[in-house]
Amino acid sequence: MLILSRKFNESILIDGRIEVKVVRLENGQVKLGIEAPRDVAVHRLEVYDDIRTRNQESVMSRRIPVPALAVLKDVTQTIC
Amino acid sequence: MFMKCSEPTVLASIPAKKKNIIQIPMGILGFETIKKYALFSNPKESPFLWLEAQDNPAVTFLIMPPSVLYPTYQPEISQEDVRQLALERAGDAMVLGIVLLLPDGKATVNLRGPIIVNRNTLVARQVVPIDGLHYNTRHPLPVIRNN
Repeated sequence: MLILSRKFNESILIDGRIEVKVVRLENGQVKLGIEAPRDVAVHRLEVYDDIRTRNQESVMSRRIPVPALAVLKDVTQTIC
Repeated sequence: MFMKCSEPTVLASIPAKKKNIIQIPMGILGFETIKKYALFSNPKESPFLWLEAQDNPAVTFLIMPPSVLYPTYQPEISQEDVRQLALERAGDAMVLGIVLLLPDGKATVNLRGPIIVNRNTLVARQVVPIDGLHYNTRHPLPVIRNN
């Protein structure tokens, strides 16, 4: 792992297009500002951990008969 | 690229075979070593499908296209994911969510980590959409269990 020291308001630039800036330091917490093109996915690592955990919970040891399993209620919902 | 997946043809577009082999070069998170899955589609089980590890049926996922229930679900995926999946247009993508069956008979679907399949190449990837935080990994599914 590359380790760099940065002070408040200093940045690093990744791949010439992704800027990560230290925007605030308080109570042992670092706030980072990330300036990246819209097409770059930036997520907290926990998002991946969350998905991994859900995958591990969702895995089944065999296929089961779906008709006996679940009937989707005749509803259409909107999210967001 | 926004994965506009609300066309009702979403399932009809799966190649007509009952079982297709899907390549997932990066694996599914937590199951990175498994790269090949059989995708089972049976009209009687629609909208559900099965993703079963080709060499290990003990790794099986129940999946569904969330757009069947949530037409507004159009996750935006990164250019890198688009490139990895060689998607040329949104219509090339089949968007699937992993279903979690809970012991109390309820079920949820993971909208935050969808599996995107390129319908033409049958290469897939579990992605975190750019707007992933808008979505939940445990979105309640309106199901009734018969058993």
